[in-house]
Amino acid sequence: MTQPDSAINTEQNIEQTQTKDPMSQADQRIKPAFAPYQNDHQSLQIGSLIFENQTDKIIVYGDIDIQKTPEGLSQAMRLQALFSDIVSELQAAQSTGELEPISKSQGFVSEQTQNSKEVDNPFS
Amino acid sequence: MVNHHKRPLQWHNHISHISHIRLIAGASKELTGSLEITHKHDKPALSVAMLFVKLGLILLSVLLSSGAWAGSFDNCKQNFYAVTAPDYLNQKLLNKSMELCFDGFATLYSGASRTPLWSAEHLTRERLYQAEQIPREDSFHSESRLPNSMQAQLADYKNSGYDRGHLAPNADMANTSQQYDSFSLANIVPQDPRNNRYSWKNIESVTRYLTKKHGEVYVVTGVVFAGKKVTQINNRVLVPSHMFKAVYVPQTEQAGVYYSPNDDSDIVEIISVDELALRSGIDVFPAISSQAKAAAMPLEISLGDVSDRGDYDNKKKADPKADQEQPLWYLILIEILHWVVDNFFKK
Repeated sequence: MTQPDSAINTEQNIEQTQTKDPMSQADQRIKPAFAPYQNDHQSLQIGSLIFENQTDKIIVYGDIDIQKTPEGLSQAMRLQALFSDIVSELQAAQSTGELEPISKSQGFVSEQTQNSKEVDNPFS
Repeated sequence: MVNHHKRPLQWHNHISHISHIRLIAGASKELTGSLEITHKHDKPALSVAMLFVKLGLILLSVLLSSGAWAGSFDNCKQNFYAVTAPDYLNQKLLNKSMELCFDGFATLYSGASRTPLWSAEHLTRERLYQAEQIPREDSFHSESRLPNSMQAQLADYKNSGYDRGHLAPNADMANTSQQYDSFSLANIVPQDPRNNRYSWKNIESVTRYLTKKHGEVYVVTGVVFAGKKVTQINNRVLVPSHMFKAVYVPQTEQAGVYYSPNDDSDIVEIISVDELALRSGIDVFPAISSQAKAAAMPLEISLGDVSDRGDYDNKKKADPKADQEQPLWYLILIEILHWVVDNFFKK
């Protein structure tokens, strides 16, 4: 389970450490655009509004003041583009019958579908 | 190896094979370098003797650097008040723990819980103004400097019902390198979604407000595992029972701690550094005065409670003297009113 992950990490690690120049290091970290439902790791913030990507949901929380300013316009356009991507993904899933019929979660607290158990506290 | 040298890691109890391999690999690199020099400048017999001396020195340095107390926070002590890292009343916290230096913060990680125990930051006004200028787009990732057995993975959090809660928050990070580091799972704990998205988010905002108001603040954000039993997700990661955020304001020489159960109760207590030490087993600010440890400074729970926050938005720099004096005289006025009411109106 951890084996493939660690192999990837090592590769990333080597990639990052090969260059010392901060600019090229920054280049390596050029972020691929937020791809809704495509992975479990991307995070994006617009104003104080936070988007977290999961393959089964997009988590959105926080707030934003969209001012009547050039910055406000830019933020609104980014939000529009993002929501347009989300809608496209959901429509595509709908057309192929991949939409979950009913939401599994009640309210915003996520459902617990994976194993969770009580264990002895190693620190007490 | 560059990464390893830049951010050295430190073992408290266990030295894994991976750590060994890395250290030896580093040593052999040095060895190759020294061999080249001896071949160039010395006679063969002498160079063999020199080789043994150097080999001995290298072995010695490897032994010393793998010793438990060599101080791996050495490269990131600026995150601690008076360059003094937290201290421990409960030594069990150090079992399978590792000291990790990140860009912008320092973390004590526990392989026993597969979570950080705390992350420490030195926040300044300048850092936060810088932080406001950069786009916030990043990815959660496992911490490759940790041995596999200690790492938390993205899969541990998936469908766990818990958010991936930052200890050192993303919004405090002033550049892309710091930001990247803050998304390491070594800075992340399973946090109740409501706690993460509401109470804790507000507390982080108030801490940034305090920093802008007073110029600089030292922060240690951590977790507590209270009780005989704790929740474990995916058979791997332990869920903290409580979250804390301790702040020390050098300008006023005051400290206080937000202490909150990791649930949806919205309960946030304000306690002293001493009280936190009793509850968590961690003395977060060993170098501050005993008075500062004993008394909890008043802390707002949300920015909505802060009356003068507008002064610190949009890079406005306010007169720090006025900021200190106004709340004090307001408090005195309230005290006098209380006294008057108690003595003259409660007959």
